[in-house]
Amino acid sequence: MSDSPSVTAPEKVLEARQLTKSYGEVAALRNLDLHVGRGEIYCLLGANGAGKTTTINLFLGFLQPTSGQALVSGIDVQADPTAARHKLAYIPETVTLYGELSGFENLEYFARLSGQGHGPTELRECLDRAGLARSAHDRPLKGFSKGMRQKVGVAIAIAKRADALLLDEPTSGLDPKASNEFSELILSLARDGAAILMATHDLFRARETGTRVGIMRGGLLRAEYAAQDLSHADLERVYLEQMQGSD
Amino acid sequence: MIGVVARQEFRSCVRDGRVRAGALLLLLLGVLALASAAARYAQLSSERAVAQALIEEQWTLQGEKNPHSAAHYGLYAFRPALPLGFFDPGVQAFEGVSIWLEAHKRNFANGRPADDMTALGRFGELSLAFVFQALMPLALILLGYGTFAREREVGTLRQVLSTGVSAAQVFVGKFLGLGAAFLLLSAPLLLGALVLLVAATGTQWLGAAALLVLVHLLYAALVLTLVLIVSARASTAQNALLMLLGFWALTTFMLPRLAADAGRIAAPTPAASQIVAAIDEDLATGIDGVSPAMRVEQRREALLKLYKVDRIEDLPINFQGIVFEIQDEIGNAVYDRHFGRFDAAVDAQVDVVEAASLLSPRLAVSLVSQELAGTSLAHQRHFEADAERFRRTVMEALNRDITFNSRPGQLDYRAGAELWRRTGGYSYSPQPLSASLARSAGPLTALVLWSAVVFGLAIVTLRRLRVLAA
Amino acid sequence: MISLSHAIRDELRLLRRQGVALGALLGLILLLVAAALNGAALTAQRADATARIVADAQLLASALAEQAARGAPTATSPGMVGYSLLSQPAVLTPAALAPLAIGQADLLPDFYAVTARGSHQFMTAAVLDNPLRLALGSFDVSFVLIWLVPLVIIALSFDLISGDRERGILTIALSQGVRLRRFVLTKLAVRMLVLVLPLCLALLIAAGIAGVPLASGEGAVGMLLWLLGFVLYAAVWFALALFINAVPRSSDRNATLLAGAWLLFVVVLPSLTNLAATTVFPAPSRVTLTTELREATEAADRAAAVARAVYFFDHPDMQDGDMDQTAYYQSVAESEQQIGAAMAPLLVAFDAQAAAQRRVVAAMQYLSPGTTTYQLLTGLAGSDGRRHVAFRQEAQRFQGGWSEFFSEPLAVGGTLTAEDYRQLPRFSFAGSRPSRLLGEALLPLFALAAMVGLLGFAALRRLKEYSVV
Repeated sequence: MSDSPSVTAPEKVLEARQLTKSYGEVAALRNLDLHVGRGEIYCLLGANGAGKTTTINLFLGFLQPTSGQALVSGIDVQADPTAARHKLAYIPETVTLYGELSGFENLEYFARLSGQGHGPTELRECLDRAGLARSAHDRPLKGFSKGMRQKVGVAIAIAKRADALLLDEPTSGLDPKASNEFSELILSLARDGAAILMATHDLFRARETGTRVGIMRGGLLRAEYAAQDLSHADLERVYLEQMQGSD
Repeated sequence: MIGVVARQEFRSCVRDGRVRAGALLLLLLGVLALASAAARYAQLSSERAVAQALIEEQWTLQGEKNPHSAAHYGLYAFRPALPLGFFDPGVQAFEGVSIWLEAHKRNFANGRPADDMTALGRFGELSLAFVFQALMPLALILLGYGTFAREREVGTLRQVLSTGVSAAQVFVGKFLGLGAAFLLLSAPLLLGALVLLVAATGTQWLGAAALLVLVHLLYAALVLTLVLIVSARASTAQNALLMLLGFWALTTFMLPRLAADAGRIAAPTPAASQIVAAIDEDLATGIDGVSPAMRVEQRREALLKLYKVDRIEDLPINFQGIVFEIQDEIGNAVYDRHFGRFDAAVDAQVDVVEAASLLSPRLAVSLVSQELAGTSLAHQRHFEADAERFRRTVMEALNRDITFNSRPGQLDYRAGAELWRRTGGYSYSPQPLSASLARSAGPLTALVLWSAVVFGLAIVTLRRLRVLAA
Repeated sequence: MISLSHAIRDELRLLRRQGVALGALLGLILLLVAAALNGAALTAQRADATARIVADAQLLASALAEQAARGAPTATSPGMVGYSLLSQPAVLTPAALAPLAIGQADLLPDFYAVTARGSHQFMTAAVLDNPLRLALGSFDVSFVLIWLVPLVIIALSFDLISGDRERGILTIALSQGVRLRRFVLTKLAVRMLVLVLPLCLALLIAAGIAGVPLASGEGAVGMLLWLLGFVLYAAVWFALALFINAVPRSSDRNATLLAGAWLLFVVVLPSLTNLAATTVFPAPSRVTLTTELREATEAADRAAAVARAVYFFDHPDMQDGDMDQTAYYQSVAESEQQIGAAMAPLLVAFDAQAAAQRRVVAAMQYLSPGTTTYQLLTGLAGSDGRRHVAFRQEAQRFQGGWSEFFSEPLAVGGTLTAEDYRQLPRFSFAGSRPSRLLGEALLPLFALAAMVGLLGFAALRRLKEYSVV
């Protein structure tokens, strides 16, 4: 796997070393070796059940690896999940949050959980940056669309100012405009220095925003490319090839 | 169409492991209730029959005695344990089982089984009626709370309706499917109970038992429909569950108590001591403003005139017997008045409870169930009235014996076994079923009203059935 | 780390918005006050009735004393007065906390009419009340606390963890770096505080409204123990909710399991305990009591046949001729002795079985926090039957003394003077001393605390393995 030449020796913010997760006989993830550096956007592609979400959950410490290690900023997730989580921000596929609270209140709540002492102005700036209109800041989340809720989720991640950002299918269910806005935001976060691991189906977005692209199937990372080395068509071809092979 | 939905609902119900576990538990509880109640009934009925026979024997073999002594010795009337009491013990635990029938005095019933229960007896007896009235609704709630709501959330409701089946057909199908599962669960208990009943008492009580089963089936249908309605209307399955559980807890356990206490506040019953004091006073002062002594005097004058003699010693009859009769006349009137006053207060309280059954279907069905099982307050009253009637008959006969068979001033007059045999022999015949039914008119109406409301609500709900999740 | 005050405030805001807590709390407080008023009314009604009885008895006694001073034959005959005319009510004064828990108080007689005739009559004294009302039960404060509060606790905490898990909040929250245990316990603690503190306050106010003498020793100690019992009982339910939530499961399932637990602990187990106690130690048959009493009476009558046959004892004023009252009443006294002796074994059997039943209940109560708390609260309020047993025994002792007061002069053919009336024995029942209340409450309180501890400990253990995904 060749690193992109534009990134000179980036520190490995997210690192998986022979990361394996099995449930009895079934291997959800096998010997994953992966790293994401500062400012990099790594897009993990694959079908449902390929192991993308498992990988993310292992980095979050929500699952215990059967063998191997997951490291966040050098911290072994299994050894000290809480410390590792302080270095991470996470946006799940479906951001539900508390419907009874407003966008601002939700952000305030979760930001406080991480121990940060953000003032209200700062928090509102995070919501702004995430793209949530000011008029929506104080409306209860019950009435929000999926895109709006996701923006609150992004705001929570922004407010964390974490070393790494984990995204699970972020653009699923978003219309093209919202999807675009999201891509812009991710790129700007990467420019600020975050290491981003994004699990997605969206080949187009992966090619657009990703620094590197990895294709998973059956718990294995089958191929890895630098995004700029592939055209959209190439990526699609390579992806489909991988999907058709035998396990 | 309906059949398809019904079959699917039934199958998914019966195959669910949790449902099976719950059903087993419920069955166990039901069997326990049935067994303990049946055993208790068997013991009680034999005990009382034996006791009544013993009392009879004591009466007949009391030897030669002045009838008035015998009158004070008195008799006992035992309330027989009606067989359907094993299904629904009603209020029997709080009613006396025996009444002492003695001269000049009407006694309250004695020997309340509740006095021999532990303090935890107030939590209620575990009976089949309890299982069917309080626990079955919970089972129905757990079976059906998600039936519409969950399918709506997951999207299958939209799928089913898009095939052209009408909402009403889906509703009826689900009702039938869940209803069949419920019947599967309760049929063994009901059949077992019926078999025991017939084995013990033949077909005499089968009519009442059939009515009981019918009423409870109506109640179950009502509850099931309500569950389906709430499931169809609630925004999420969870909300449906919470609403139904709340409704169940409040109407099954809280409302009846509130109603009972509301009745007590509306029409407090006089304390026993007050009644006794009032009775004593009336007995002393007499009724209609005529003192007992006056009354005796009046009667004496009348008799002297009738028989055209000057002294009571010259009368062909023993005036002492007349005196006792007068005492009984006064006493009976006084007791009627004061017992009547107590009964009226109790009736007023019962009215409040019956009115409250409009708010709680469980209360309604429980009131009807008590009436049909013969364990209601009214049934006890019927027994007490019957025993009192018997007492008056016996006392009258004893008094007459003194009046006509003894000589004036004969202090050593004694009667024998022949008189005892003539006056003894109490046996209680319970009221016909029609009387019980007539009395249950109130709560039955409440049940019917509930059914109407629920039915109407179902129609309204189906017309605007929300197919899509929020 | 996030400050505790912020955490609490955040949770409070959440609860407020969710609406359930506030509504339920208000409802409970209203019900508490209503229940307290109801209990107070019932207690007052009974107290009024007994007060009237006592006043009437005193009136009668003074009237008789007056008559005795003038030498009237009826008032100076110890036989007549003791065995026919005068009865002294032995009254059970309600305990300090009686309005809060009716328990058995509406079923057991709160006074006995003591006459010189035997105390076997106590067995047939009964409270007259609407049987339907007795069967349906009372709406008192203990009902609200034991039956309804757990329902609110379940509604507040059935989805303590599962709700957030289902909504994906748990993953985000944990990814923020807060520990699961802390996150969950904060939620739990806030819910507990929101429910328990106002309810304790409401309880105190309700008790005050109901007329509980909070200033007296018995009242203060009893109330404190009540509050403690309530707090621990609520804690048990919260701990149970935590325990159920500590394993990943749908919120619906949790609600179902908790509802089942409520049914088991509050409805079914108490009934089963009663069934067990009365099956293993059935009380002697009341029917047998009736027939035995009749046989004993008949036997005594036959023994006194001579005196009885010539005297219609209930109609002294209807009868002419000499009445040898003394001889008559001496035979009555004799009969009562015999009846008492004949009935004694059966009455002892009743008491023994009742005591055995109570022992079974005392042991089995710890199977259910509902039963434990019910016994605790009614025990402190003096309405669980134990106080009544002590009262009845005291009344029986008093009856012995009262009977002697009349049988002694009767035996020697003496008369009663006005002075004797002034010396009439008086009944008083000592209430429960605060130390006794404390002693009786210790074991149940400890048991409840143990339940909280066990459930909490087990819950936290399971929580360690909680899978968020």
